[in-house]
Amino acid sequence: MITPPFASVMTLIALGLSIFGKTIISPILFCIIIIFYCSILSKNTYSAKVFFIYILPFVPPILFMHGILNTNFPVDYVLWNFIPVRYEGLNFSRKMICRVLPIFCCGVLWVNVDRGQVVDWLICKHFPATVIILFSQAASMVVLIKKTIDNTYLALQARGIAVGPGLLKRIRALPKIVIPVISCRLREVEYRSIVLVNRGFGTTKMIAIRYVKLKTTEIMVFITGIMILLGELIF
Amino acid sequence: MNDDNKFNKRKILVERTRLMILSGICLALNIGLGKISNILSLPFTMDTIGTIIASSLLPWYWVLSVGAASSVLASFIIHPIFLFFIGTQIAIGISSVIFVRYDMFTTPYKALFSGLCIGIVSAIVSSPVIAIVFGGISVPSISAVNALLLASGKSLWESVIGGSLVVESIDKMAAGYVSFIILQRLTIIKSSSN
Repeated sequence: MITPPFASVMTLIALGLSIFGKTIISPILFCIIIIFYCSILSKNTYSAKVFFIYILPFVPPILFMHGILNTNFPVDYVLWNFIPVRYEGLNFSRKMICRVLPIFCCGVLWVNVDRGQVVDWLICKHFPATVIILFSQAASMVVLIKKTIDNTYLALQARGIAVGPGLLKRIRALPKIVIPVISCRLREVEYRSIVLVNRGFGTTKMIAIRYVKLKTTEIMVFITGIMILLGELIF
Repeated sequence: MNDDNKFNKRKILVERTRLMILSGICLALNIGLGKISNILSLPFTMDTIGTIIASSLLPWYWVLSVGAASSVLASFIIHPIFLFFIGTQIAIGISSVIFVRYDMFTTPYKALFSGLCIGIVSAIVSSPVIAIVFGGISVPSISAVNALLLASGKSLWESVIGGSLVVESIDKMAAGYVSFIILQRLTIIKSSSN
């Protein structure tokens, strides 16, 4: 797993690359290093898959939008006599892609970070307990909400309540799913808060279970990232 | 006297923790309810319902933190693109607090109007991000309208503002209406509790 301090410093480097980057090589090199490092650590291609999932709704549409559709750019070439290709549009798309690629790459890094470690790291860095509780409760609750939605949807179908086909029927079914989900979760507020206080929340200082620090390999990747950023700034 | 102090201290602590958990739940609703749109194949996302519910249950500063935190958490859980829309979520939070304060979620028409206004605010705030950072690409529905407008000869900014206004208005009107139904069912609307 990636450690949170490494993910956060690499996020800063990625932001630097997106803001100050001019060439196409640096963001691509940065992405290759990050994806390669994550894949070696996890010993599978999951990180590469996540990266493609992230870029798929962005890269093909922007190339299509500006390289073919955008009439603000002149047509340079007509492919098969009916597809206008606009080089200026493609160049504009390339700039936009280079700007966001490092950010998407950081998304992949954070996917590989252990959430428990994030909490420990935040405690070590003296983040306010309110922020830590807010994020940790929300992260755990998202999973529960998704499960409740699935269960409610199945229960509605089992009872023969119409949840489609047709847009109108699906919209009508919406409150039948939304309300049980929300009321279910809001009911949890009371006992969760009392449970937290009973377990000593707010009366003592939060202590991390383990101290999170950078690994040697992470320091090496971090130095490479810094060199890419410096190269982009200097040359 | 000492026992009273202890009791009051604990009461304050429970209340503070309750607000924290409630914010966490509203934050999770912002992120998790998108799944309903997926399974019902609805054309709108429901990423603001949590913020609107929070504005009727929580103090304004908690609502703003729910909005900002939604973007941060969504960027870790769903897609890094959400981090750039932190300003949009805060603007939605501010406008929903104002509408709840003026009892605008008490009838369906008022809720739809509030949703429309929230949609316009959201479109205005998110358009610069879509145009400058993403070159006109956003959620698929907005991107499709943007592409259509660009192909018709409009400039990037005109297309992005036009596309965002159309899609966000419809989306947030739906979110406003759903929030109204939820608030009615939960009987937590400010005016009805008075």
